[in-house]
Amino acid sequence: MQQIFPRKATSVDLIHVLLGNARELLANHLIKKADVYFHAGYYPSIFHEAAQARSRDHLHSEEYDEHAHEKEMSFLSKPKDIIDRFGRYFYPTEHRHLHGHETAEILPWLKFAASVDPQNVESYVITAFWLRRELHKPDQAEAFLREGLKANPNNLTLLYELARLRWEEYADPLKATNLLHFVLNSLRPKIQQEPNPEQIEIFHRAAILLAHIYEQQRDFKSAVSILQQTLELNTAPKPEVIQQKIEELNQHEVEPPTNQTCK
Amino acid sequence: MHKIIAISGVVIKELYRRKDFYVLFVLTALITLLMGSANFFGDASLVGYITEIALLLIWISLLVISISTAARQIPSERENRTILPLLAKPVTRGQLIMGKFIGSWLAATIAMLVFYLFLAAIIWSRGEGPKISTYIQGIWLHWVSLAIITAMAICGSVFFSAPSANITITLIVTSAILMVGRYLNLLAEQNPEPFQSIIYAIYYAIPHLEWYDLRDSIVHKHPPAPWWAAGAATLYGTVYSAIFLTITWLRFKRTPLTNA
Repeated sequence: MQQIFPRKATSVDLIHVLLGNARELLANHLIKKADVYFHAGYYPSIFHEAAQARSRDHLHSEEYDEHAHEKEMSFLSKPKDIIDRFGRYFYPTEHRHLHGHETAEILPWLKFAASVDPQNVESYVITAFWLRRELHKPDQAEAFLREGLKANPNNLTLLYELARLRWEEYADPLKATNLLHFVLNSLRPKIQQEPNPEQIEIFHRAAILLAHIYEQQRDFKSAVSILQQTLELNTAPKPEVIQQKIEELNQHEVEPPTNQTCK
Repeated sequence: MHKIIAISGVVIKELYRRKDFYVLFVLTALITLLMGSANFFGDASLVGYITEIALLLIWISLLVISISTAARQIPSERENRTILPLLAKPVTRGQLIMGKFIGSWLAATIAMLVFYLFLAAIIWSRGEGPKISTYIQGIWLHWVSLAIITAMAICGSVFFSAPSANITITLIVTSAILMVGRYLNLLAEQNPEPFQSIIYAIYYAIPHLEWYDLRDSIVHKHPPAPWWAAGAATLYGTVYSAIFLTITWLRFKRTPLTNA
């Protein structure tokens, strides 16, 4: 398969030599640190049960389950004794999220994480999300995603994020659809052979975004075709919603697309 | 009182004769400046990560300075046999302990003020730093914690045979309290008896140094703790320091002045 981005650099840097496989652990810790900053210091310790298996969806998506997140973060039960009660005056005990320019404070930790372990895709995705959503720096977000793609050539998560950025920030359907088609074409055979939840999720998200772009371009036929693929491959978590959307699109009069797109 | 002040004056002079402080300060300053020079997406106003890294280095440096200064005082006087002319002044053993304690604490205080002034200059030159009231409260409570730690190290110096053992053990104990002291009750709940009772006993007996660590509130720009709580923590710290110094005095008054 043709590569969209150049091959991975193979130079062995100082961090690689010094830390070895500990880079992955350190990078994960640094991403967790960014999450701590996002919660303004209010975060469960390893001694709190809530620290186990926490989701990081809230860090890079607007579509996380707010209720489940609140439940996860209510790890601080009533004080158990006088020492516990008094000690709470001296550390953050209120759940809140950073907003606006405040969110920039999480970026150094994410950049450290990406420097320590360039193969950790999550650090690029989260950074790009905040750079464009709250800090309004889509150019920086794109540059960082491309940096991630240099370290992880043809990574489908990063390609999907790049497509999303091109569409949402620059209204650039040509690049967005090209990238999304590449993602779907790469994932299709993998899902047909041996599906895994991560691949299914990224396929579904890419398909939904691509269908949305086609719909905006009034290319309803292509939008329906993409949505049908999610049903055929069984990647949609709610097939009935997709079926309803297909029916809705079919009702539209098929018109020629307003902008040229490349499939 | 002037005898105590005279003894503490000698201890303070030791701080600027020894190289520990200079090395730790230069190291902290270098790392902080290096971190500050990094560019994160063209935003030069980010202070959270610098404050966090610098505060961690300041806490580590001050732990090392206060413990190593305090732990060496009485053993070095005994080893050099200068304790005999010192006590012949006349100075009581209680005054000697108080002089050594105040001297070590003030030496750590001077170092602490230099560190915090440097950090304040770095933070506020970059942009919006933490709340000033929280920063001042953080310095105040850190200062109180240094009193407890210094008293612990002085106390250890009359129990352990060598300053190195005292320094190591005091460093381990204080670090452990700072890291897990807050969670010992949670840990106790997850353990069966008799471990549960043992952990609870430790939880209630140890000085809760973690109360004096306001790093999270400073870094994440939270308002200060209520001032009455800071006052109560100061009182708590004073009581613990007094307990350690009393134990030191009770032990030291029965100890031979020279190593056989």
